[in-house]
Amino acid sequence: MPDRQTTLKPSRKGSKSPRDFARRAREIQDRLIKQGRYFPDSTEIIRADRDSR
Amino acid sequence: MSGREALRLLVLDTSVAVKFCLSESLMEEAGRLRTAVDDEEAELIAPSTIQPEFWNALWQQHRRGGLSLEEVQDTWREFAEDPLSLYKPEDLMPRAAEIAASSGTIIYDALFLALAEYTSSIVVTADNKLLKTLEGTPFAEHARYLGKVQDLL
Repeated sequence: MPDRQTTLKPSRKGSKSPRDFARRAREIQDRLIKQGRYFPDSTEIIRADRDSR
Repeated sequence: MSGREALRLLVLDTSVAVKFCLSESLMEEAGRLRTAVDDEEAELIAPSTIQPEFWNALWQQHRRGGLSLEEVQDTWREFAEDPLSLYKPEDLMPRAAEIAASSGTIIYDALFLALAEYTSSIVVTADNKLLKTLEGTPFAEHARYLGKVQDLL
């Protein structure tokens, strides 16, 4: 859909560099793993949220 | 794909965004995508609805006792400043409504699919229920399971 592509603009560009974000996200996850903390699949939470709205 | 080639544009589903940060199923696959972002091989975009959905997923993990409130807030802070380009639901709604009506997906899923269609990209999702709903529709080509993310990179 070329006509649509040309008109669609992002409403926000992130302020952080991709590298910074990837590093910080990995740090958060690594800390949880080191602590032996594993979570139930968040996909179920997100699905229930979307289905119930 | 090597990092020297064109940047791969992908639509990030909330189900994958959470796996960038939390230790849960498919986190290794999410880590591959995160590494591709780190290596500047992939660029991620999303409808702005990803933000409340991301917060809600963390909040529900907090309510279940898995995350402290401070961890929710810290993780949210990182995500809120992340490098995603966000698109307004109102800009995506005309096409999302058509997708929802013709595919049987709910509108919140259709927003992600509309963005993928507009940008000729693919939604990366961990949600098998969404993929199942899309089977046999023209929109199936715009969504890919996180477990197969390697094929996209």
